[in-house]
Amino acid sequence: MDSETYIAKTSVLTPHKISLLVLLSIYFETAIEDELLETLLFFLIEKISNEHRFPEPTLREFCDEIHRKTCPLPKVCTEIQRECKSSLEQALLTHLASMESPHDLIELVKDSKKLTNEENDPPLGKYSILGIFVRRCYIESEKLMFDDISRLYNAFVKYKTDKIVMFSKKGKENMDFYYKSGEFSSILSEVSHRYHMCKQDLIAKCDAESFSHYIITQLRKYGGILPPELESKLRVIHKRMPEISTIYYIDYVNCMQSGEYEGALTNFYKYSNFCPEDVENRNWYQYVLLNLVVLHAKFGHKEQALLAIREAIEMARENNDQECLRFALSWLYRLKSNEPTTTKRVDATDQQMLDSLISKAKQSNFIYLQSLGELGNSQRQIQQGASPTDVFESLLRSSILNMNCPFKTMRFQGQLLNASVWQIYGNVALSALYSSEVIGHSDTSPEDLVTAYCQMADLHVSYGNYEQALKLLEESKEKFLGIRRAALQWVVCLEKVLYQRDERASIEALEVQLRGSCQDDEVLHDDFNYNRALYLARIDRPDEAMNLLYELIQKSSRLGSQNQMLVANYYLKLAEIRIDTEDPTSALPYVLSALCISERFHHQSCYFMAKIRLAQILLHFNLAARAKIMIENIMPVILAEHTLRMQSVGHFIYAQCLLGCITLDVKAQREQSIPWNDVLIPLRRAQTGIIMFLLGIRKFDYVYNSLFFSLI
Amino acid sequence: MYNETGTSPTSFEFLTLEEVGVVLRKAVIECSERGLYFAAKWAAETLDGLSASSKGSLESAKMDMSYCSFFTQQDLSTNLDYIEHDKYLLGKSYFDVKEFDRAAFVLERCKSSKCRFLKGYSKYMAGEKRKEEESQDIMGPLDDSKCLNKEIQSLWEEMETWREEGEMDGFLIYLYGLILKQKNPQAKNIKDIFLESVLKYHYNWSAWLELANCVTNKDMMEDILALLPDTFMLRFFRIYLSAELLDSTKCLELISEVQHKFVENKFLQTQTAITYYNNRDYLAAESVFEDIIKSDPYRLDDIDLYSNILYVLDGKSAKLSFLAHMSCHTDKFRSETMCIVGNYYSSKGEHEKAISYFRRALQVNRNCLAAWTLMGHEYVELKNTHAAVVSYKRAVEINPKDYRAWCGLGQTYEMLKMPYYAIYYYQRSSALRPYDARMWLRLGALYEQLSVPNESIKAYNRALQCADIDTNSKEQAALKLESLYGSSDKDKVTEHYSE
Repeated sequence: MDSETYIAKTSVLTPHKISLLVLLSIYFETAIEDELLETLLFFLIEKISNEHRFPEPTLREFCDEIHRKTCPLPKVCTEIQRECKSSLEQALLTHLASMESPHDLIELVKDSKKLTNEENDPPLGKYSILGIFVRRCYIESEKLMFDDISRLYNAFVKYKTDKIVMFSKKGKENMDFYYKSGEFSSILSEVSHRYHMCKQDLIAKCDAESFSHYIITQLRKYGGILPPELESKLRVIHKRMPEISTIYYIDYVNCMQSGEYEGALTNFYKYSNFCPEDVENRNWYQYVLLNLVVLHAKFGHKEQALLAIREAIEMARENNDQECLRFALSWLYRLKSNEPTTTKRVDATDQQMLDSLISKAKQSNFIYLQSLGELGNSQRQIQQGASPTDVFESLLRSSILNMNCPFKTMRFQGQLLNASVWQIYGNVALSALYSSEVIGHSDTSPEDLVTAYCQMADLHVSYGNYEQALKLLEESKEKFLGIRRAALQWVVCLEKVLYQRDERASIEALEVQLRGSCQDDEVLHDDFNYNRALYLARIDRPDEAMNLLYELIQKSSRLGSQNQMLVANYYLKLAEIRIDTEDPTSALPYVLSALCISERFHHQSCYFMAKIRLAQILLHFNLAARAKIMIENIMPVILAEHTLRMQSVGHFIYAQCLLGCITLDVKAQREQSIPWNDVLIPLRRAQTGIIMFLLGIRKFDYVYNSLFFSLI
Repeated sequence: MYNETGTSPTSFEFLTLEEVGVVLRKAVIECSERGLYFAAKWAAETLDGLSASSKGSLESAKMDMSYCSFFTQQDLSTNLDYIEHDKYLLGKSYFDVKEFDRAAFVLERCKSSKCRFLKGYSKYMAGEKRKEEESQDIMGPLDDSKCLNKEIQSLWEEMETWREEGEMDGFLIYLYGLILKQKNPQAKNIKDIFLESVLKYHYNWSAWLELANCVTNKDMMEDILALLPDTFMLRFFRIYLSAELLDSTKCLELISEVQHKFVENKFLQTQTAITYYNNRDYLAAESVFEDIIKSDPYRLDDIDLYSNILYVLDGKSAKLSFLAHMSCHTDKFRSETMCIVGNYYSSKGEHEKAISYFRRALQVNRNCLAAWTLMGHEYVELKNTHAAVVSYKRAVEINPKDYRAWCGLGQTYEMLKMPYYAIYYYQRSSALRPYDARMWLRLGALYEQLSVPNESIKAYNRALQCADIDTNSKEQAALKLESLYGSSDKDKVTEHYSE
């Protein structure tokens, strides 16, 4: 449809449908070859059944399609094929050329009614695909006012003119007819074509609606955002038919995916304005409100989400809509559990609400809600530092429910949570297994996919496999293009990887972009700040790093916060900064805090790291023996289950402990209890990992050199 | 910055109010000439808002005369000052945007002929508009065909005063005639009033049309023609009247006399086509209409007659559909367009749709004769005789000279098996069109039904004398005559057959 053409809307009838009716009449009335009959029939069924094609093909495209199906010389070269017009195509074009006036157009539609209306044995079954199509066209033609018929005629003339004029210019000798644009059958037709025609295209409302429904189905199936070609088609529909509500819904979903809050909100309200066709039926309203809750929650506007959900609950109660009420309650629980609170009583209320939700969902056999409830339960237990047994019990219950749940996202959510939990509890292998399960599935949503990829990349990094981690991130980049939240998560993960590799220049570049993007996103904001603190510490700005960590600790330490577990990490990092920059004594309270919190929350990696740092501090107090015992107790677990980094640091500190013991022996003028070789072994082991991490390489060199000097 | 005249607009500080008045006056005219009626209205309102003193004296007004093309010496001599002229401009601008009451209000105190006419006509139009609004649905339960224009009485009284004072020009007399026609349609002097109007001002075609409406027969026509000077307007009037009175031969003769001077005249072409149509020479009429359309593709006036022709001729549905398409494209809210579309649907046998379009035509123009008549035909097809009778009766009220509606009434009453009524209406129809065999044939049949053989014989004889009788009808009439004459009068039968 070019820009000069006026596009009008119609209910059903379009020039393409006229062509289909012509083909139908050819099928029943014209003598064509038998072998073509079957091909034509299947072709017609295919074209009429295909409700998703938009826009409708031009006559040229339609003829090409007929040609491909019916050309008698399919195997010769394309040049000859083009010249050889199938008899069907010729019949169609002849018929179309003979339809000169609006009267001919309407007569065709009326005559086609005979196909379903004959007294005895009509050629088409009334309820067959073709029969329904014919009847529908007939009914719609009866409903048309004359100016609609005029519009259809205008569009029809434009539809057929290009093809037929082009046709008439090529190889006249091969044709059974000719059509010159200058010749008319009467003065009236000439005057009419000269002065009373305009370039007109028609969009059938039913086609536009079914196309938009099809887009929604595809969106729900595959997620992501619309490709530009589909979006341009929807824009054409939207421009002409703004009353089709599904277009707004598609825009709403698109904006949600790409993180445009304003666009999502505007389209959401437009969708809900156009949505209810039955003004007496108010039941849709509470579902509209639920969607609004999702919208606000997705963009982190909790107050608006809570307002909407309270109204949704009231409307659901008023309309006695139990299903909506349960969804609303589950969302209320989700939102409330993220709220920072100051009293324990609210926690208890939330827990009660969750338990109530699970039991009600069980009663009503809402598997999705039950599973959601169990997942929420697991999360809550992790945050509260419940025993791993309880946590895994909830996760298992959720997994069992997910097997029967129609929502696949729930299954992936469960698996991702499993991966996180195993990572917290220090089993890297199992964590990796769950993440790869999510990655390997074809139905995963982009956000879940990104989370899984980031988890895997994290695991690779923890073993020093930077190349593998970056390769994974590169591979994952294409899978979520345009989805803002997923993109942010990916960038934060990349930053962390680069930080680990000490690529300062790249981190600098990312920092600026990330700062603006993460501001509205609470979860990523904290991750971003933590990464920033690590980075600042690395580039010798420890004070700024510490300030950031203090802020994070303050924010996360509030009672009811879901990030209490992460406070251990923050304390640990503070301790490390203090150890590096100041007197290790000042790091002691932080190490002890980290130790307590990580033990409480079963955060194994943090716990063991805190132990290692404690040993480092004990060394400073010349308590090398105690430090050595401490490391010896934990090293087997670290070596079996934990990251290469932790192993390297553990070996390094152990080597320092051994050195410390030797020093004490030397000072006490005792016999050396530890051979030098025993010191070199852990040192070499540390070297492998430390070289990969470039961790304190200067320090390592210093220690190594000092060791050799002392040996000498 | 310079305007089209090459001068720059004077800045606000230096522009005097007199100059403002001058430019606004000019603006009203120039905008109005270009169809910018709202801009003209604004300029006129702004002009009117200037104080009387600022509008300048008559002397200074004379200097501006050159701008005002419609100022004549006569206006000057009657001391038409700027204030009344400005009022006129204001009133005219309101009239152009169809704010009739407003136009009448601002011209209330004006005394010049033009202003008086505009005031009176605005009031009249306002009254007509309200009458239309009160008339409600076409043929609906609240349809009130006797709704009156409530401004008529006050206008008539006022105009009577002016008439007595002898202060009415041709236009005012025309308006007076319109008012009198509505106030007292049976008044005998309506014709004289319109005659006076055309004598006083010769070129108001609306007055000529009203005069034509008053003429019911050829004798009256001749009497009137004798009183009028032989101008081109008279020739056109004569042509129109001849066509109205179905005097085809005379009409064509008159057209040929003037055609050499008015070569491309659409009115003459149309009258030619109408004459052929009235003569039932449909092919010739079609050919003329085709020429008209070719030269004036966006014309809608009288094109509904062309659709009647295409309807009657066989195999013209495609052309009729083209005509409908063209007229829809031009203006789908004209009564002519709706009549054409109605004819198209009628030709396809979709009578309900046809009726809906004719009703729409009547909603646009309640006095559309063609719509009433054609709607009557459609109701006859649907055997809704009551509605058909109502439609035809409305048609004959609008134009008693249209034989089709009378014929339709006769046909309907014939269907209702009310022969006396049918005879009356066929008689009215045949009086208007005495050489149309169809009416005489119907009359013959009805008289036969009523067992009035003499009258029946006369009617059939009369039918046989008509030139337009077709072969089948001739044979039928002859057979009827034979049976009516009976065996007792074989000479007459023989004489008849020999003829």
